[in-house]
Amino acid sequence: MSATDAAGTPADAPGEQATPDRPAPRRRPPRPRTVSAGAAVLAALAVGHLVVTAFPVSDRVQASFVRPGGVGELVELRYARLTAGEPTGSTVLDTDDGTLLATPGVWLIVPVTVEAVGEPRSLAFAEVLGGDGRTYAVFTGGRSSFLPGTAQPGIPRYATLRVEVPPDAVPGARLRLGLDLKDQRRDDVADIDLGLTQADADAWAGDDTPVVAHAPSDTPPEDS
Amino acid sequence: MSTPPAPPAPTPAPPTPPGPPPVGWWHRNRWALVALPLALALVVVASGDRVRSLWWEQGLHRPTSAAPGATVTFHQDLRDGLGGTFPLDVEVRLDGVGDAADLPDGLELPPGSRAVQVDLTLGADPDVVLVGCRLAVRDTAGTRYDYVANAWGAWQATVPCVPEDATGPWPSLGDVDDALSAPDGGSTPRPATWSVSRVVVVPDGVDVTDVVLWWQMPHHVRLEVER
Repeated sequence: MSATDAAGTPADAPGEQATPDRPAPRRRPPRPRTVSAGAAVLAALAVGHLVVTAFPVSDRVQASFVRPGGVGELVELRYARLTAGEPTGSTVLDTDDGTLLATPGVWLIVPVTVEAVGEPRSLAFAEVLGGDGRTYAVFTGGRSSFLPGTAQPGIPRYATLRVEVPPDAVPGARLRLGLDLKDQRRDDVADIDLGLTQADADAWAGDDTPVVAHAPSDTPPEDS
Repeated sequence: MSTPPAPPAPTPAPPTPPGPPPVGWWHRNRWALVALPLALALVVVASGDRVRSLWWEQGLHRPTSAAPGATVTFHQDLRDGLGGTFPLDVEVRLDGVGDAADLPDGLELPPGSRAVQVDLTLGADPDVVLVGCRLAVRDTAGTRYDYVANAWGAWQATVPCVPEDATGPWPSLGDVDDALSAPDGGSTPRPATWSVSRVVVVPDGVDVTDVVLWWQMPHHVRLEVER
């Protein structure tokens, strides 16, 4: 026999017995003030939902802090100071390790000087916004790459970005550089107008003279 | 002629029975008012959940400091990457910071820089895992300059805080430990105390004010430089 059975079922308890003579208590209708307060809460929730969904609040909150600049201009970021040098291009790339890479498009080469701020930094994000409206990703490996390595504060780091693009992407191309490869939200991103024209694209598309992409170094390249 | 009947005398209003005094708004809402600061605190905590992962654990925020020349005892429970922790107990003393008299083999200083030598004396039980430490110096503005093992043409010790030929045990990698050979220096017993000298490259004109040593942020050892 269980303990519940030994103590008697709940229905047997004196306090639980039904009282048929007593009428069931009526529920009072809610007072107007209560109804108004409830309506106000619902209205506030509705307005909040409307603001969050109808306007790009989330996009704006998470947007990068884009710092514009041009060739030869110093771009000050939270984590580094960047300067993009004069871009060059060709259909053949010299990777500075004895390898030549040819392309049916053009190789766009941009020297970049990185000076870290606050602590050693390793910039890992780069992409080219082509003049044709496309975005050309630049990975840390592969044919199109940007591998500056770690820059010690106060010691400029000289790196080279190389990206393979169709000639149509060259005029009006812009270079974006950032710290984190995967996540640029809420952080500074440099947006550098490379100042390229259709003439540059035509000249590079017809040139097979290898253009050199120097390995990153803390010493300035000799020919820059 | 009969006189009209006199109107009935007005009956006085019955006296109001004594009751509880009227309850004010502050009194009626007292529990909600008490809960309000707690709710606000909860809102701040809930919306700041990324402060820990994106800021607190990404920087050196919890120092264990030592005055110049003093020995400091440092303890931290390190995450092992397998869901657990292991203890780290070490004693550290800064013996000196100055221009490096002898540069590591192959080191070519970049323009506008100089080499700073950091001399440390450490002590720990031989079975304490110290591999994974990072070393840096800082200047008056708090800018950090890291020790880099492989840079500027030189190869220095990979682990800056232990003897190169007797690193002591390495962190466990889980089930694959048995299949791995012992890393360099990992099989030689580490002495109870030892000294290391490491070279850090800093820009010219930097005045080193402290040396920092850490394993997992935000905790770190901060050793003040005698000035």
